[in-house]
Amino acid sequence: MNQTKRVSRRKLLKAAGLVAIGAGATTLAACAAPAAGPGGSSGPVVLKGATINWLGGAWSFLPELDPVIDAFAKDWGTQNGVTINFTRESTNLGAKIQTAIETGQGANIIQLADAPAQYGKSLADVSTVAEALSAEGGGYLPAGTFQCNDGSRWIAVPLGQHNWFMNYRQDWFKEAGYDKFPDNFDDLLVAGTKLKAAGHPFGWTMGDKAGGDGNAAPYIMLWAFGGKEFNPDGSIALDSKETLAALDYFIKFHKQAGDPDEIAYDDGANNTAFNQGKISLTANVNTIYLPAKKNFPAVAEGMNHAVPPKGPAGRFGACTLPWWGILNKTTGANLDAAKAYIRDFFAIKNLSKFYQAGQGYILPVLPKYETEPIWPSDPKLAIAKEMFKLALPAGYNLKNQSKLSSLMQTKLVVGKMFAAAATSGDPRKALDGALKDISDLKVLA
Amino acid sequence: MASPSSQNRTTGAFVSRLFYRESTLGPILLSPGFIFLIVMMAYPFVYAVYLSFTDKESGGPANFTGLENFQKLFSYGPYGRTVINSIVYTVFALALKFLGGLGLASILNRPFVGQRYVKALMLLPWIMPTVFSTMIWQWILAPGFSVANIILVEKLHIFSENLPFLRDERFAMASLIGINIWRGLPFFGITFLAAIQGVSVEILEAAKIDGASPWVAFWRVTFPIIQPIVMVVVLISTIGTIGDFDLPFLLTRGGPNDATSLFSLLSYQLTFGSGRIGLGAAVTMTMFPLLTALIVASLIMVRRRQQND
Repeated sequence: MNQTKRVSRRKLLKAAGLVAIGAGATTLAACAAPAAGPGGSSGPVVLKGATINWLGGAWSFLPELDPVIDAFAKDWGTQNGVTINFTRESTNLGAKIQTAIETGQGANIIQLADAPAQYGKSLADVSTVAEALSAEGGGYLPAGTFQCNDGSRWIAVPLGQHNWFMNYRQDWFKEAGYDKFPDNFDDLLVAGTKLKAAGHPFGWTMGDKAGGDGNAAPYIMLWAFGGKEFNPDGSIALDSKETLAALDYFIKFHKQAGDPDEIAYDDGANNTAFNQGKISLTANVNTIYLPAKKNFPAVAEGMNHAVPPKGPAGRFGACTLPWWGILNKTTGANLDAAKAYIRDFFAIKNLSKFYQAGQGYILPVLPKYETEPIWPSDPKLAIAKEMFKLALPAGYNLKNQSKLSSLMQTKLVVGKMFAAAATSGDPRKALDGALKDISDLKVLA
Repeated sequence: MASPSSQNRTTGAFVSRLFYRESTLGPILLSPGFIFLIVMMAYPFVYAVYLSFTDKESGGPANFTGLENFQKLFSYGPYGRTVINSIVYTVFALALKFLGGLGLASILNRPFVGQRYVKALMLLPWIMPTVFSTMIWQWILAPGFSVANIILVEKLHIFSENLPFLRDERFAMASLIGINIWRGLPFFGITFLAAIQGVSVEILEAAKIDGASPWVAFWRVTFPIIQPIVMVVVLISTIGTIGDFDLPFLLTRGGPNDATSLFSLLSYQLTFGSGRIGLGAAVTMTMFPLLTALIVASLIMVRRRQQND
């Protein structure tokens, strides 16, 4: 006899209810789970179908870095069902970012080295991401917090820091009687005078043409003499006897030790001059040494790196901090995906590969990396580990990076002041010019 | 009730009439270009005018602020320098391109061996993409490792020390003007040559018979005849030169010490470097009266000339 099992309405409703609860719980669990990077568990359903448009500059000075970003994005995108599009723009990045801000199209994540304060109104709050990364890495160094936290929230996440080392021709310094790199600015001037007389001048990038070097080299000198751009309350502190002392020093430095063109260098000019044997010292990251190893082996052999010399106020390193931020017109799943992507790529196990590829070109801003195997093995780049806790970004004396400070960096006011001092020979006139520039910039801040 | 075929015939006849009548054909043919101009030129222009009267900042709303942007500009130090730089740059570049173009056209108007090749070669700076040619100039003049200085100082020993091409304010402006001339001279030369070759040989021969020297014949006979073309070339070049962006942007970034900052570059820096979109738009608007005055003056001169003829 065929027996048909009858299912009562109550049983049917119960079963349906359990299925629904089970499905709901699974979905909730999936939503609550963190997005997984390569090698982790599969990504949550909520990110699936999201799109991230990434806009930034190419790492033109060290092209090995872009493939690291691309490789991670490819794996992460596949695992999480997220499409990631990269647009790399060199000369017109600012215009593309402004267009993306105005139209809400074309970019979710932006990568820049200019201070994020300048884009503060257009950047989403990434505090959860930055705080998670900070906790993982032992707390951001003051430079990272200063640059990317506006005092109330994180508007960007620091990718790392570029540090400016003293790149010098060790062989020529030895010929001039120096077995060690001069420890202070006075000794450096004496050495430079000898080396210039021997046909090997120094090339200290000043002036208003180099957005990278020009926002580091001048500060190393200014701060070492005790000059500062700001007081902690935001007022201008540049008009000081310490600034005048720094300018006075540079006038002598330029005349006695410097390449006459150093006050008009762009970012590539000091690299070229050094590799062509025109100068014996410059402040730079490792992008003179690494190409020299391939293309100018004699230069690579003869050069070395050192920490910046001390001045009356101490020893200062200068850094710029590239960062990633999310434009605040990014919403919904795309915003979640952008945050998850940054969180995962910036995790120590993944970002370590990026730092390693840079061989000291870009250094971390989290202390935990000190014990990670990211540091260059080449002894001539060992300086990187010494520098990464030393360097400070422009405007550091403020509580947080301000728009005025970032505009001063965009207009290279400090470098321009040093160049004007060298041209006119009059520190006071150069300082007054810089104060006028700052007063003009206040109109824009 | 009209059948579909008769309706088609009526529509066809109507369209034919539109294309047949001169009064309707003209507007029909002009309309695509007109629409293109409205969308691509008039709308952005009107929008830029609107923005120049607002406090529009990157990522923020645009609030009407009247003439506040213009007031700010006039008290903004780099703007004053930009106005002076733009005038110096335009006047010198134009004057030298004009004189050089006339000279070049006069030389090329005389037959010589290889004239055609010279003409073709001469056009190279004009047809070469500006980004490419400026990169070459950057390499030639770059501080620290300037090819020009290596040749002039180290190889030929003409100078004892490097020339400060992009380091010194006046040298930087002179370099910029020089490159603008190098780039624009072929356009002047070839256009003037075409105009000169259009001058009737009989008129020039008559002048010669009357005892006019080549110099006098050129200035009293040839030049007045080609003057309308000269005016158009100068006008086009004035607009291009005063609004030049790519050359200072790529070569000097407006430096040293804002010595080569021009209108377009300042507008770009304010808009994209500082996010002050309203203020950036106001910079371009301050160019507008000057350009309008130039265009109107040129048109009046050309019209008067035509009336006198």
